[in-house]
Amino acid sequence: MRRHLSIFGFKTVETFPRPTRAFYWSIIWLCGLFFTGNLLLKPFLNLHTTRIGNKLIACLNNNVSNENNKNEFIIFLGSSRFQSAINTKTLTEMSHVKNVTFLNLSLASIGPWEYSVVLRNSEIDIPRVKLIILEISPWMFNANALEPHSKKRMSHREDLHRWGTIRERLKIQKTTKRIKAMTIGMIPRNALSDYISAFKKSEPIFELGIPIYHVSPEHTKNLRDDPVFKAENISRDHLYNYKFLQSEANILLNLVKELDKAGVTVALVHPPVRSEYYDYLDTDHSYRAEFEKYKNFIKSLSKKHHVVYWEKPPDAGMDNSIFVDYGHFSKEGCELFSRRLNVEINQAMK
Amino acid sequence: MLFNSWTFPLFFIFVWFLYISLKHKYQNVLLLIASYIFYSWWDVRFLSLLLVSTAVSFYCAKRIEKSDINTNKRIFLFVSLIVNLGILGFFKYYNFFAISTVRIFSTLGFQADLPTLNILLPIGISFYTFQAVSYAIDVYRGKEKAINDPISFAVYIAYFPKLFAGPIERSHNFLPQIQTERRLKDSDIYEGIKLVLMGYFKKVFIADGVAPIVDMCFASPESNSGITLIFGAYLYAFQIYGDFSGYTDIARGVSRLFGIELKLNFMQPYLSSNITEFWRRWHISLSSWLKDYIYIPLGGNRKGSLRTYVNIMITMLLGGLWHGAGYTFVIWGGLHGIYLSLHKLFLRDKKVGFSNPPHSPIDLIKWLFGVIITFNIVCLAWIFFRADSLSSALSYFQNMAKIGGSPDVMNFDVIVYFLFYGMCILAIDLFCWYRNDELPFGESWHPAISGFIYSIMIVMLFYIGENNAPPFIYFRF
Repeated sequence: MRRHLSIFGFKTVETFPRPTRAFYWSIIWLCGLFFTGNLLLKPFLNLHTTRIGNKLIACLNNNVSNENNKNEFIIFLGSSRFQSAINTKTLTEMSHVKNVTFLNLSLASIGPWEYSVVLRNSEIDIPRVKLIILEISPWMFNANALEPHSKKRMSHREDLHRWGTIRERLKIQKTTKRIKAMTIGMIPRNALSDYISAFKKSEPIFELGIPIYHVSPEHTKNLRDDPVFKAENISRDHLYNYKFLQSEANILLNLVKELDKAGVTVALVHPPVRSEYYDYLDTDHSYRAEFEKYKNFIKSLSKKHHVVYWEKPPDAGMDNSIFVDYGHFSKEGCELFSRRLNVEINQAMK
Repeated sequence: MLFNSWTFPLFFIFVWFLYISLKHKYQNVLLLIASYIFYSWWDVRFLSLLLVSTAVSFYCAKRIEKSDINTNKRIFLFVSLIVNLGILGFFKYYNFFAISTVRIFSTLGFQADLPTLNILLPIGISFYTFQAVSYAIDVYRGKEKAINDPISFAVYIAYFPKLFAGPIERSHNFLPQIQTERRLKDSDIYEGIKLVLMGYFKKVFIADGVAPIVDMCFASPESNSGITLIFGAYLYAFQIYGDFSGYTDIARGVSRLFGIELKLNFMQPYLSSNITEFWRRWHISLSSWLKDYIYIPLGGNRKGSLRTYVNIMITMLLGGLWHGAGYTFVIWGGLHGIYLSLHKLFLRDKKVGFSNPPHSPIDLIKWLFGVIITFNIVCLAWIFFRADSLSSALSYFQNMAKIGGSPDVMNFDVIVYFLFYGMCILAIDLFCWYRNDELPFGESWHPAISGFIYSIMIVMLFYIGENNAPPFIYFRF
């Protein structure tokens, strides 16, 4: 006689739920709401609630759509160092080029990916862009670069969920992150306060002329006093376990290629830093080897484009007095650098 | 493993599919193993406390029932109480009493040197300890029979949906469900899913949504205007309600999917027209526990008016202390004790029930007036509950009184937050209150409308919220 020793019963669920009308209606409403939300709300939210949208794309669009401005544009794209280094008012006064608007679209911690996001999402008509100057810095191409305050690894693509194309999302290495980016990552999630400020449509904070770094003395003082921004300290974060990030290099290459195709002149600039910034590379010979890959990449770019690589201040005919910390410029340093850069701009446009 | 983490849904789906395929006697074993895994996910070391509490309570209850002599019964009851309350007292209150004792001695001019220890508070200890205590007392009083099946009892103590933050289940409600075979209809599954959705909406959308503003207000009251702080206190009321009732809804919904009905813990408390009604609607499992095991044994209202008020104060002070080892919690409890006592004094012999939907304009005005007053005095007490320390609470009050102080940009945002999230809570609770049901929308609604409302809740969950979610507030207790 066989004894059934199975622990399974399958008797708990008397009736499995069949989809009700309310359930079907929920599915219809959900599909409709998510589709409408992503179609109508997403572009608006991306523009007004993300950093690069609110500060860079919106500002560029404002300038482009300004009926009084029929000028061509010279656009700077870079990080906080470019933000502090360029006085567009000085450049406008000194420039030999007439009817040109200088726009400094720089923001802290942005790199090649953010440059491509700004340009592909803005309303600018490419023929109106006379020259684009992109900042290149070693940390942008270091896979292991750390955020100086949090000491977390830099993402290099902070707002990928908001601005990333399908292709970029599919290229994410980690499977769980890739699935997240393709599903819930497609939905722009914001706090209520972000919606309030987006719908208030406040003017994007953007300085034309003298950078905010020099308008606000407190801003400069914070940089000067913060030990995190001393050259020897930030060197450890930016160049941490230096490993050349080819994917970031490819993004820059593709961007430059697209701009070339569109007939835009491209220049690449590395503003100088204090010499102590490179000290960390000497702690391990492998870091130098990887750093050389970065230098070789810059050299390859210089074959076709105007590349200005000022490693240290003397390379640009200046000294350390232009800085407030490792590489952010003081007001006087910004003036000097802008004048020096003007020479390169004129050369690039010949 | 939090309810709002990605691991919990995966864990639950796996356990549920296994659960519905097992025979009844193995289902309890599965629930027990799943509960211990759930608890261990947080910290496996404290599983030992849970096991000790379970084992001692089970053994003592059996001995209480078997003993014919009252003295023996009392001894085993005391053993159970001492072990359970001792564990709770040591892990939760040792440092508080040590510091307080040293302070008292130094005030009196003596030097005392009691060491403070670096003790981690085990999650859920307040909840499962109270369950164990209530079981032992009920068996002692003869209201409950001691259970013979250790697995069923262990599930009663450790059942994972209610383990971390309640509700505090009574054995007479829970054990019969565990011991009988459970059957699930499609309506149980639908109701369970709706409850879980409602819970996530309250926790993730409402509670987490207002949390940053609340944190900002309480972190530095001196940096905010009086208006901002007033609305900040209101928003904390929304946060704690959304957080706690959201957790309970998820727990009840998950439990419904196992065919187990957990006790209702919240019944639209902010729609109470008086403070006594508030305590019949807020954290019902705790308030009924305090009434049955502290207030009534102290004498309740049977020993004269003065004694009644004393009993109320003792019960509420202990209730405050249960929430946390801090003077702010004691003051919070004390405030509610004062409110309840004053209300009782005002009521005299009148009975207090649940307020019904007002039928006339005058009833409506009276009801609204009562609701507004009750909500405001409750929010006043919440300030102590939320503040990190007594001095922070007093600083909050001081700065709140400066209504005419310098306005700040936050005023507009805080008011929008209050209106927006307030409307969401009001919409849910008004419908529930009117329908006298735990879910706002029932079968009587047109499917297109109820489908739309549930869809909007899901869409709002995705589109509006903070990306860094704080943990459940009641995990601290």
